[in-house]
Amino acid sequence: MTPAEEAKRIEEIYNEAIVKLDVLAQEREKLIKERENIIHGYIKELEDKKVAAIRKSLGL
Amino acid sequence: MDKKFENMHKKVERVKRLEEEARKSPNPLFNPAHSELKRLMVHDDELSHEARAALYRLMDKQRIIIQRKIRDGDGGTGELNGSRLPKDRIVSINQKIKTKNKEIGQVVKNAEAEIRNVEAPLPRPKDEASKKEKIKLGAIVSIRDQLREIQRNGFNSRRQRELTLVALSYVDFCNESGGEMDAHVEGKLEELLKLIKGDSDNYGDIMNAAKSLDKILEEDENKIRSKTKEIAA
Repeated sequence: MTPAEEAKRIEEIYNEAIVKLDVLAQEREKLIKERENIIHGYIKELEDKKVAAIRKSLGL
Repeated sequence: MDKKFENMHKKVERVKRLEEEARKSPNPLFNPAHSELKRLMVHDDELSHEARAALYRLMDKQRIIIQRKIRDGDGGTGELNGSRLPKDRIVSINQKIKTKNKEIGQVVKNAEAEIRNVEAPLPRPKDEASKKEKIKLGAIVSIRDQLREIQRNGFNSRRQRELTLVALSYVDFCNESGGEMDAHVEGKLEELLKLIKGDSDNYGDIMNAAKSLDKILEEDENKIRSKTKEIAA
């Protein structure tokens, strides 16, 4: 393999890896977002219930 | 004067009773006693100050109650007991993220390994090697020994010295790289060896042999050249 061919092949490997990493990074980001949404949803639900319970106990 | 004091005392006592009543209520700020105290604060000049102080104390009491309810979280109703963090889902997502991290690491490792493979010199395929005619280690050693002997005995001329060193460097290189050399190189070396040994005194023959070897060396890349320079230096 000539140095030019070698450089070309290395570039190909690099580009292929970058494409795969982009896809995986997007999937990972999606999972992190999903986890955040679950936690935020739970906290919001809890806060709403808390406010409603306090208002009810105060007769408001 | 005593009468006036007595009336005032009664009024103050009433404010205290109202405050006590409001305090006992579950909501100190939302009950009839509290409303009465507000009325006294606004309309009764004599009791305004007392009523205001009582209202402030009731506000403190109410604040403490609210703080306790907030701290308990559910205002004492037990309604929030049903709310649970969906741990299973979070654990499952964490696992997926971990797997994804491993996949990312694997992609990087694979790419690195592939690049290393491209950069590393590829071993010459056996079938390709077998196509070429080779001579064995013994032949190389024989040529080398003869060249070394010439070297030990001293050179007759500058040309002989140069040729010997060039030939030696090539023989050494072949020996180090597996004890093989192409047959045409072997032929040239033998020719050169003959010239070096003085079998031919013809200067033109020696030059031609040197040129042939130079050509071979050029074909065999810079590695041999640098080795030649090292030895000749």
